[in-house]
Amino acid sequence: MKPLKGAELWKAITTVSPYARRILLYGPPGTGKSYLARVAGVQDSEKVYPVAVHSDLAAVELRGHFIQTKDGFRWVDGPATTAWRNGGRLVLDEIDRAGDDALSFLLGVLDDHETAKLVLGTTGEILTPHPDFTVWATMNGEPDDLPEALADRFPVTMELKAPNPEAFKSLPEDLRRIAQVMAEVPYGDAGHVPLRCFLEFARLREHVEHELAAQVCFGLQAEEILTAVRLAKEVDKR
Amino acid sequence: MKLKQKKPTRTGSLKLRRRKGKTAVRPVPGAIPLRGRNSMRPWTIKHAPQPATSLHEHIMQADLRPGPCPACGEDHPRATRLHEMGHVVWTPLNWADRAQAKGLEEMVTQVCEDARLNRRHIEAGERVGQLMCAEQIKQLLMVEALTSDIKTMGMAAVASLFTGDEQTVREGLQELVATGMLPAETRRKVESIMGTAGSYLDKPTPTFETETLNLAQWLTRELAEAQAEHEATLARMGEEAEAAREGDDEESEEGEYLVEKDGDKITEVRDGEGLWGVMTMEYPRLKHPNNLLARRTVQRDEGVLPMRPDRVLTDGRMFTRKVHRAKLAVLVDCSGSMGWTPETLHDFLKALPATTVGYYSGSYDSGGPGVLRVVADRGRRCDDEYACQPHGHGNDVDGPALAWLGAQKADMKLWVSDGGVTGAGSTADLRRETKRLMKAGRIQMVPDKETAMAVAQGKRAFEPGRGFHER
Repeated sequence: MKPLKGAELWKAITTVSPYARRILLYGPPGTGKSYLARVAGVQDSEKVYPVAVHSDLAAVELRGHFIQTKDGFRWVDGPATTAWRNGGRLVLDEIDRAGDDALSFLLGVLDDHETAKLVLGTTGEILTPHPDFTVWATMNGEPDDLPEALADRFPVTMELKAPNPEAFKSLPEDLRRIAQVMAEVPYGDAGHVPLRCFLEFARLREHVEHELAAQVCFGLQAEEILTAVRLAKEVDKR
Repeated sequence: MKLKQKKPTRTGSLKLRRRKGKTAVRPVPGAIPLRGRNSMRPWTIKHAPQPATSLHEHIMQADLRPGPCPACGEDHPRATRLHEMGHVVWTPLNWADRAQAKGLEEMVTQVCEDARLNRRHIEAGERVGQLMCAEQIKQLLMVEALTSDIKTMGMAAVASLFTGDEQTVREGLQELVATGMLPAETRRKVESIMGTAGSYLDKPTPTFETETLNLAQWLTRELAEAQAEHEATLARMGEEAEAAREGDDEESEEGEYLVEKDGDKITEVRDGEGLWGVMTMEYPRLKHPNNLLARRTVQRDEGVLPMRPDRVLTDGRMFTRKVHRAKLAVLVDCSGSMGWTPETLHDFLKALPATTVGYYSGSYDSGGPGVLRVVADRGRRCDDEYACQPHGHGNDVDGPALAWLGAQKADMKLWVSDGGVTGAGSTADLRRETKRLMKAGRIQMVPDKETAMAVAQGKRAFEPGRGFHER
C-alpha cells in the first residue's frame, strides 16, 4: 500500500474522523491541522472543546475546580472532564508543549475507553468516559518529540505536509495555483508561503493597492509572486 | 514518570531553516500552467550566478539573493529572475529541436529568443532591468574586442535588446572605439545589427515560430559578415600603421601632437618610436595656505562616536562624521607658450584649494633633462617665484611626468596640455607610451585652466565625438 498523501490523505481523514477516538495530527504550520481538528466529521449535536496547550497549563484547568458561590463552593468541570462526562470532542492544540502537570492528567484522560477511569480527587467521584468522547491533538513537530507514553496513546497519527487542496478553492482563481505551489514548498525553505498569507492578501487587495498588500503579506517574495500571477495571465496569449 | 526530553537541536534547526527562507527570493515557475506538460510537477530552484532554465527538467537557476547588487546598486538578481520566468511562459518546450530543424545554431537562436522575451515582458507591463553590472558588460565587450570575437559581441548586443543593458552595450562600444580597441566600422556594424534586430522584434506579440527563428536566420548571416568585415578592417589598419611607421623616419624632430585636433575633438592617434628625457623632481617649500574653506567634518544626530556631547542640549547632533572631499591632481605642461602664471595658479587654488599641482618642462633638446616641480599640495602652495616654467621651453619629460601624475592618489587627474609630446628620436612611440600612461593612470587631458576648473567642478565633461561640453 502506498502512503497516503495529497487529496487522498485528506479524504482518508474525513472518512475516519466520525469513528476514530484519538487522532494526532502533526506537520508544519499553516496546513490546517487545528481547523481540521475542530470541524472534521463533527456532528451537529457534537460539542467541541478546544484547549490551547502551553507549558504552564495546569491540570486543574483541564479537570475542573471549585468556585465560590453565595452558598459556599461549587465544583465546575474543566473542558476535559466535561467532554469525558457528556461526550464531545476535546481538541488539544500544540500538545507537545504540555508541562508535567497537564501531561500527567492527559495520560489518564487519553487511556482506552474500556479501561479508563477518572477520579475527581476532591469529590471522590469516579468517572468513565462517555462513548462519544474523542480527542484530537495537533502539533508542529514530530510524534517522536512527545513523551513515549503520550505518543502511544494516539493510535491514529497523520502527517499533514500541505493544506487540503480543497482549501485553495476559497481563493480567487488567479491565486489558487501559485498558493498551492508555494504552500507545498517545505516549511522553512525559501519560497514557502502559507495559505493563510494568500487568503489575507486576497482580502487586503480589495481595499488597498496590490503592491502594498503583497508587500505586507509576502515580504521578500512579493515581487516574485506578483510577477508569477501577472505572467500566468499571459499564458493564454501564447 | 520520566518524561522524554525533547531533542535539543530541534529548535535550532528550525530557526536556521526559517532564516534561510528569509534571505533568499524564489521565483515561482510552478505558478505558470504549461500546455501539454505535467503542470503540477515541482520545479527545482537553484541559486547560481549564471541564470538558466531547463523546461524539460523543470530546473531554474538564478540569482536568489534579495535586493540590489552590492557593487553597482542595480537589481540584477530581480532582472535575471524576471527574464527566466519569461522562458517558462513564452519559450516552447521543443525550441532547440525547431532551431536544429532549420539548421540554426543553438546559441544564436537563444539570444534571439532572449531578445523576444524581453520584448514580450515590455508588452506584459514590465521591462527587464539591467542583467549585469555596467562595468562587467564593458569588460566582456573589451575582451571580445581584444580577441576579435565579433560574433560573440554581436550576440551579446542582441541579447541585451529591450533590457536595461542595451544602453550600456552602446556606451561600451563607443568607449572601445574611443580607446582604439575597436574599429569604428565594426562598432557601426554591431550597432546596425542591434538596430535592425530591435526594429524587427518591436511589434505586438512576437512569436518563436516566426520572429525568433527568422531573426536567428538573419543574425547568423549578419554575424558571419560582421566577423569577416572586422578582420578585413584590422588587416587594412595594420597595413596603414606599417606605412605610417615607415613615414615616421622622415618626420621632423619638433614633436607631434598626441592627437590631431579638430577643436576639442579627438579624431586620430598615430604610432612610432622614441625615448623620454631624464626628469628631476623639485619640491619648493609650500609656505602659503590655500584657505581651505570647506569643512572636514559634519555633525550628525546619528553615528558611532559622540564627539560633541554638548550638542545634546541644542540640536542633538552629537556625532561627528568625516566628509570625503574629492582630491584633484593637476599636471601642467609648461613647454613653449603653455604654462600658468602665478595669478592663474592663485585663481585655480582659490576655487579648488585641495589640489596637488605639478609644473613640468624639458630642455628643448630632444630627450634632454627636464624638471617636475610640485607647486601646490595638501592645501598649501609655494612662493610665486617658483610658480613658473621649471626648466626650459621643451617637453622631453612628458612620459615621466605623466607617470608621476598617474601615481597620485586623487579622485581626478588632469593633464593641462596641448597634447604635443617630444623626446629623443622618433616621437611616434612616445605618443603610444603617452596614451598607455594616460589610460593606466586614468588621466584626462584638458587644454587650459578654464576647462580644467570646469571639469574638476563637474560643470563640463568630455565625450568622444563631442569634445568637452557643458553638462
